[in-house]
Amino acid sequence: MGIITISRGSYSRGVEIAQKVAEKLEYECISREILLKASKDFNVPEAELLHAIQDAPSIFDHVKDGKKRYVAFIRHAFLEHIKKDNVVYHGYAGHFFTREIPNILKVRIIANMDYRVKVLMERENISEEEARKLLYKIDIERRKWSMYLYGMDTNITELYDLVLHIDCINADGAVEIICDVAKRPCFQTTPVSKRKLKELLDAAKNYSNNSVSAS
Amino acid sequence: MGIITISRGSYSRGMKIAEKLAEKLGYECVSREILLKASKDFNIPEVALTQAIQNAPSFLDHLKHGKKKYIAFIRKTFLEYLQRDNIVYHGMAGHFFTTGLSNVFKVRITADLEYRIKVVMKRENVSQEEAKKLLEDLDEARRKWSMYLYGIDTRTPYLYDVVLHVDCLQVEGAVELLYNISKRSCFQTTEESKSKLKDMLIAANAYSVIVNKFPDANVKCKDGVVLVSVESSLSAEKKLSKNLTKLIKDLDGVKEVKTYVIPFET
Repeated sequence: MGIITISRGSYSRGVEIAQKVAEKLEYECISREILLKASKDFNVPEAELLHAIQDAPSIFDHVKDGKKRYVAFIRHAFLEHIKKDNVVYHGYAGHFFTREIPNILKVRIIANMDYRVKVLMERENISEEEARKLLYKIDIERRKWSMYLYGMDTNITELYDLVLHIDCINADGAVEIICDVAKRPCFQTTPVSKRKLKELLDAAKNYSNNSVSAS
Repeated sequence: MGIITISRGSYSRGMKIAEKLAEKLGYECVSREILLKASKDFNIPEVALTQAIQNAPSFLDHLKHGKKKYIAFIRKTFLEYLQRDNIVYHGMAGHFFTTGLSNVFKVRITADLEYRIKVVMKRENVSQEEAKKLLEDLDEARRKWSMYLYGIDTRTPYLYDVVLHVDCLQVEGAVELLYNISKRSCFQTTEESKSKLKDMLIAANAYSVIVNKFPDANVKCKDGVVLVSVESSLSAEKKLSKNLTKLIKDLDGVKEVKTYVIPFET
């Protein structure tokens, strides 16, 4: 029994790794489902939630805290979902949402820029220059986003229990390593970690309800 | 057969992990030995070498290349040590010295600041505030050091194959995990990686010989052929080339010396 969050550099094969880990451990694998649930529960278009969790904050966000409100909705849906346990979450902000909860395995998957450029070129059928530019832009957006909301660069290793560089290890190797770590006693759900998750979820519920009734 | 480098945040139990991992693998565990050997080989006090590899660069370092010179000596000794294979190295700069050697398993061990503060308080008998200040100073010195020499922060995850946070895993868990990963085929020494390491040693040795006169030289080696690039005026090219060749040609493993003068910008 456990929960794993996988933060992935874009085009670093993190989705594939997350899916294979979930399959191997027989856990549920979630990502976009969280946004869909939040969109439904709080009646906000999914595209807006995606902007809130994906893009760097605009001047408008700084003034009106709009992004913060949407991220709170996503966090609420996220905590609600992982309460079920035996979950692999891959995508945005999982490591931030679970910072205070013990026993959750927080993983980051990274790859060299050259490797990511190659993947992007193949997948989107674009030139090397375009791919580099796009990745540079994505990385900057992610950094700005996490600095704005959590005062921390998402690349800081201290946020994770395990950071895997897949250039040498490759995706299948990463899957084996993550499964090996996930089975260790310190990453099993305990009554203490359940209690902490419940506390955070209750607080998130209160915030969302107040926010919805105020709007 | 393999080589592992462990970069460790200060007071993060990295040393213990390195020692236990080496024991489990039946590898040699090295750290300070490199400095002792370099100190002996190049006749430089160990404390001067320690300062070069540990402290943030001073204003004088930027002008006099003193740190660069000592690092070159340490790097040469380090690469010489690695030729033995079956080694776990823990300490400064191992990940920088082995950049480009993909078979070397590069690890970083981190721990929460709160945990590290506790360790410092106990080990150094200081207050919580003093411990925090000490760790912040140490981290900043490391950051400045790596930025000065390699233009990259040592905490950047891209420098490593694996970064492990030991708070949850603990020492035993980390050792077991690293042991399993080190057995993967991608981290085994191959004939190709051996010959690459040999070339790197030849280049490092050549640089250590010329660093006094040419601190900004760029030295590379492929199959024993050494290529030295230096910035100079084109009129001095012939003399420079002769000088460099003379200094390098008889060193261990060198088959040929090629020099390349990059003209000063006008």
